[in-house]
Amino acid sequence: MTSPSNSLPDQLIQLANALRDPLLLDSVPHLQLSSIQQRNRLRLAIDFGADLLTSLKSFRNQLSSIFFLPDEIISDIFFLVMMNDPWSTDWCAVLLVCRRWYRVAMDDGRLWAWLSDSDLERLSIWQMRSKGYPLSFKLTTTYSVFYCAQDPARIRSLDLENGIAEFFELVNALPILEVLRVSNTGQRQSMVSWRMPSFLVEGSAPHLRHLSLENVAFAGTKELLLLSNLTHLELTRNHDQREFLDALPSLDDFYHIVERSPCLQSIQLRSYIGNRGLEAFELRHLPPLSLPVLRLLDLNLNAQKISLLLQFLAFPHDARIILVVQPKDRSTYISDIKSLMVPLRLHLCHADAPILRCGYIQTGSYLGFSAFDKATCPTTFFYKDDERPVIQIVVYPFTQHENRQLLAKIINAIPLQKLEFLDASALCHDSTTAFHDLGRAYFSVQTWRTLVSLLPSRLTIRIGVNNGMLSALEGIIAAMNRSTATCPSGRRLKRRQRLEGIGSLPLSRLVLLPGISGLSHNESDEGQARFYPSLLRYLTAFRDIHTVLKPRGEVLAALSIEVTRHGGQFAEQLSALAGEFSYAGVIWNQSAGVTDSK
Amino acid sequence: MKNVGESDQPIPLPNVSSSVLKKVLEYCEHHRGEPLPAPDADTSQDDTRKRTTDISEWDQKFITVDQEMLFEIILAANYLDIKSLLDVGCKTVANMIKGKTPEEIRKLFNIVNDFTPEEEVRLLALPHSYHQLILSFWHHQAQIKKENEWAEDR
Repeated sequence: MTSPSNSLPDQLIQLANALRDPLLLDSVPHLQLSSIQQRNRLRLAIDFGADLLTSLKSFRNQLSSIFFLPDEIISDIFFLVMMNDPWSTDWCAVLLVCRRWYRVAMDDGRLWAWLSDSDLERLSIWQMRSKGYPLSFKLTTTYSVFYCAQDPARIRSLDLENGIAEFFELVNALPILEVLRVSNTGQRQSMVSWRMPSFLVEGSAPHLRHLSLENVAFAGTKELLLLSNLTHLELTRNHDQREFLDALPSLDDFYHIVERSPCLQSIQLRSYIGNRGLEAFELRHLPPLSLPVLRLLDLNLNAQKISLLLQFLAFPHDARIILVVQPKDRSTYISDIKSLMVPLRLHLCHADAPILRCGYIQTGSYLGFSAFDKATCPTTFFYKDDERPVIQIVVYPFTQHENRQLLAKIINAIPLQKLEFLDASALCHDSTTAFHDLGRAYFSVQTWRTLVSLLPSRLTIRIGVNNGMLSALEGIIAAMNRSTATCPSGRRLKRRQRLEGIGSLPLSRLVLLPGISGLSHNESDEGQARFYPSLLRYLTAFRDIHTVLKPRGEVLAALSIEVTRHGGQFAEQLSALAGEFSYAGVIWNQSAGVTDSK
Repeated sequence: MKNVGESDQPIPLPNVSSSVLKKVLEYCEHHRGEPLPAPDADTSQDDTRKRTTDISEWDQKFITVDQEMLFEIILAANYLDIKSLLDVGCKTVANMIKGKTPEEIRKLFNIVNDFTPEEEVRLLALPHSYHQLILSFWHHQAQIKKENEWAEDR
């Protein structure tokens, strides 16, 4: 595929002159095409014209502002598009845009260096196009393992789901390997035992920085202890197979792994620390290990192991922390969490820690609380890398009482003084259904009362139009009623009293979403209409409460209802109970009685 | 720029217009004091991790400009060797491209399909994994043709 000719402007002028000639088209029907020579000449002329038009199209593209960018920048942009999901072929859309983009993409070996064995034909063609660039492989079949092992010197990243043993029998050095992911997530979903090849730790993989093992246990931890200079370490176990418990590294082993890798940027440990020598480790009081560039600490362990880890890891206060605290012993779970919150609070309550502005709360078979340093939080609890909260804690309460106890411990450990926004859209369960019996899949009025009492005042709460909303409003009003008459107890509440005076205003803005359908009939869209009269009742009660922070008669500062089928019927009544009322993105102008577009 | 050192002499910037330079200075002012990216970042695994298309809130607001200005900023960042700004610009364009069909990309950037019919046939001969993409591409083209015919009939 050629680029447009340099002499194109001249050709363009010639063509334009020819096309302007009014006799040109008139003469076509009168042409004498009886001789072969004449026909051939005409054919050549038409072909020339067609080529010229193609060149003109390419020339026209040069007027597009993106074409001002040089090839290397276009190539970098393609690389960024490709890196969004390097294992898929979605980025190949750029190839079909125009000839120049096709040429740029084909010339850049980097774009073709990510090879997945989902298509074996593609594997060899892409490798050819990769022009000697270091290769990244994602292999799921034993056959492709043999293919990949042909040129180990070019492998930069290796993601092995199957054929682990076969691959390491075929190679004895991986000189540029940086990333090694070994997982066993096949149908059997069981742990496999793997003896890490000694060459990986004896200088034949000198650039290995990222090690990830999923459902793979060590036949021995000796090699693991020899790994050094890692930047990313992910050790995951999804299955509770007791026979592998002894094969897992102990906390003592992990201490020595970290000691040899002071530049760790992320640590992810999921059920991957054994119980060996736990008590002895606790008594040894080892010196803390400094991890000055750690960005992510993701731990899914029991409270005792997490506490010990937090005690010996010294890392930046703005690093993201994700803690899933497994219950080891139900009878001591609450006190274990209490002990865990001590080192966590010490770490988070620091001048260098980010200011937390937004919280997300979820309950179900677990209680999850995440806090972000952004004004709003993502709408899902499973975050992308760049959306991670500053802190996320997941615990497992069994009753509403435990819910309240754990909420109090978590919220008191996290500096939430500047929290402005609480997303409770995940709290939508209907407390009249069977979920009620579980006692944990929703927040009761008392739990809401405890929650809003712990959080700073004047929050914006985002919640669905459902029973969760009713519990929340009742809890908020209960907290306001209570705080006007009772003196605060506890250091934190007393401090709040000094700052704000007696009387609370937990809520100033309410954002309502459609209830999530499918959970129960009452929360489906059809069932939502019945929630609005209750909403009106609670908003009226809110208006009539008198506290130090909110005189009687003052309405909720703002109420916003995102698209719901029935909210419109109540808009006029709702607007009278809110300072600013908006429905489906349109602000309701109370005085004029009409709506203004935002 | 580091070779220039401290000097009272004016530095000619023939490829950067004043409005673009103003934007570049605004960016530099905001990010003053931040550490520079490592020179060998391109080859490391961290680079692979960093090469996601996330852009900070301020940068996103800063780079919300019309296309012409966006490409001018990228060119200026390239010319002045301001890697982080170049990165923000490239990420913005990458985000604009992500998830779009070839026709949508052409429309977005005002690009004309300059493949000859023969070249398009050659693209069809690409390995199996492209087929889905190509089929959706042809489907899209057929849809446009149908819509155009409908519009002409009207």
